[in-house]
Amino acid sequence: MLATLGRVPTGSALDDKIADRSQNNGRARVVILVLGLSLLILPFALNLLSGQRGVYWLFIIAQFFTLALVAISLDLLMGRTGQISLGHNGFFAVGAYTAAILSVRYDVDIMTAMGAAGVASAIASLVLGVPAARLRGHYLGIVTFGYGIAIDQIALKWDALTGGDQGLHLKAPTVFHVKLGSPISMYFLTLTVLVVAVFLVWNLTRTKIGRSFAAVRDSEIAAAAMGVPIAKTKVMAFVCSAFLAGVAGCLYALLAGFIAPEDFGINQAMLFLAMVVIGGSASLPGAIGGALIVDTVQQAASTVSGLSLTILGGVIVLVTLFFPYGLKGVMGWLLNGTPGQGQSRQHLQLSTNLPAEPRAGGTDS
Amino acid sequence: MLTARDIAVRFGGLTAVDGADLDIPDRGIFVLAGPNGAGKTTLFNVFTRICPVERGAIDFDGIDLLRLKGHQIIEHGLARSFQHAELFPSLSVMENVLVGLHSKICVGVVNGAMSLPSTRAREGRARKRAELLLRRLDLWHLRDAAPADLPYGLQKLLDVARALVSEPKLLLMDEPFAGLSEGEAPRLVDVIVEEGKDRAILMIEHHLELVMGIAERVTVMNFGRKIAEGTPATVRADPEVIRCYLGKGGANTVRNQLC
Repeated sequence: MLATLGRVPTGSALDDKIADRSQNNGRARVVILVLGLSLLILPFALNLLSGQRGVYWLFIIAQFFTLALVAISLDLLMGRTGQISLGHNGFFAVGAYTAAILSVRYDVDIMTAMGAAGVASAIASLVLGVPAARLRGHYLGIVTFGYGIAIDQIALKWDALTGGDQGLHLKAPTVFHVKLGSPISMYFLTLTVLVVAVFLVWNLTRTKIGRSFAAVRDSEIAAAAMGVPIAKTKVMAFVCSAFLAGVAGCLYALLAGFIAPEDFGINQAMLFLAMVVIGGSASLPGAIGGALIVDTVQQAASTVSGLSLTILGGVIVLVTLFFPYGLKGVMGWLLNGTPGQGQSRQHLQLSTNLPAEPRAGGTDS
Repeated sequence: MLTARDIAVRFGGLTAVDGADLDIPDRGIFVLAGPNGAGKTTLFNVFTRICPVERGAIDFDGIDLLRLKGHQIIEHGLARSFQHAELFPSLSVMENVLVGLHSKICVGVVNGAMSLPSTRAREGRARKRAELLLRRLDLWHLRDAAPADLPYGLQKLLDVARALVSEPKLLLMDEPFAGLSEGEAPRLVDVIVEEGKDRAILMIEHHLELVMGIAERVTVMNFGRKIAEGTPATVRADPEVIRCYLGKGGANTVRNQLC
């Protein structure tokens, strides 16, 4: 970078950017308020307008909330911390099977099932924590990919526990002994969990933990010098992300009422990846928007098998080529008219920076 | 403050540091100089525990530095800034400085995610501390800016701020003036002089003229060894220093360059 700029940043462009950002905060608040109200009214409106068809839509929307939760979880890991995971179908599966097994054998409460699913998934992620702390970039991607496949295969072969390819039928979910099977209750359950997750992740990113995630992504060498334990932070990001993915898996199982290994295959891992790529990284609205697009394409193309993955593959290629910052970049473009500027600091970038290798004396000038 | 004895570092067949000694007192500004490949940055990387040593001992304020891990040294009061201002581009100016307080903020994942009052209080105290420093360095109005939007001189100042916010006992600065324009350098000089009153600062710098007025002592290295040590004036006149900078016969040229 050239060092021809003066001592004091007199550029008004910089001041404008700072002013813009606070203005955007105000707009964001209005958007959130409107969005929240419409989500509250939506199920009743659907019921009034389209009756039985509305019930079907509630189910579809609840399923979208589950996907959005996975997108948030994966964005925390990939977008924020820069750790690639192609094995989130594994965490999702651990959560779903934990909930299903608890439901079938012990008829547990939803709250217990969700907690157990999250914790089981978080524990399962510790297996990945060790390689995650040592590998980076694409190598980590390959390991996580294998992990996802392994979990799927375990679900298929260990039929004493998982029912094998016959799958598992869940009992009707209950909360505090109240049956909770109706689409409208599932809608509000998934919405509540999603909102809580957004709240938690949003808080987390504004504390030292969230900053250390971003620091590890941006520069491991500087993060370590500032006192951030690199390996521990990566494992922590995996555990947090897996917890959310496990809860999402539990919601998925409760919604579907039936799960089988084919729900958690490689296709699922690719869908999850597509949500984060399309959404753009380190952004909660981006992740949720990415989930919305992926889910819409999937629903629209569900009549022909394989069509949705083909379309999504094309969408990923186009997004990567023309909108490398994903939906987040597009939003910035619409708001500020500058696709790269200002948004550029958070495009999807994996932590592939070089290990903290000692630089030989020759490079010290 | 820091006493390093007989430090040796080897990369395969290359001996980068070959039995270097270094003593840094509690306060003041000290310079590590030498031509490319002299082992200055390697020595820095030894102090920051990035680079394993083959032999040697380092005592830092009563602690055996070589027993600490890289991320633990800042807790004990040893911080560093980087040659190319290794900032975190996805964090704001304020957040970059807050990462410098990582080890001083006691917040875990669970209470962080819940945003408990205790968490907010701890984060708030850290923000207050960062604010005081940013105001002192006249960076406060830029707190929400992205580091990439700052001119390079301010990026390097921010890098120093991030290292200073934990109030280290010893600050290591890797070529603080590299890449700065003549307009930008004086501001950083002022900061270094001010901070050197309360702590020890050890910096790598080639350009002796920049540090002539502020450095208490200059240590010159070549081929992994210390070849000269003393005040800037004595070191600059040292025949061996002149020889290592430009080789035999280059004395006149180097005198011009150094002055």
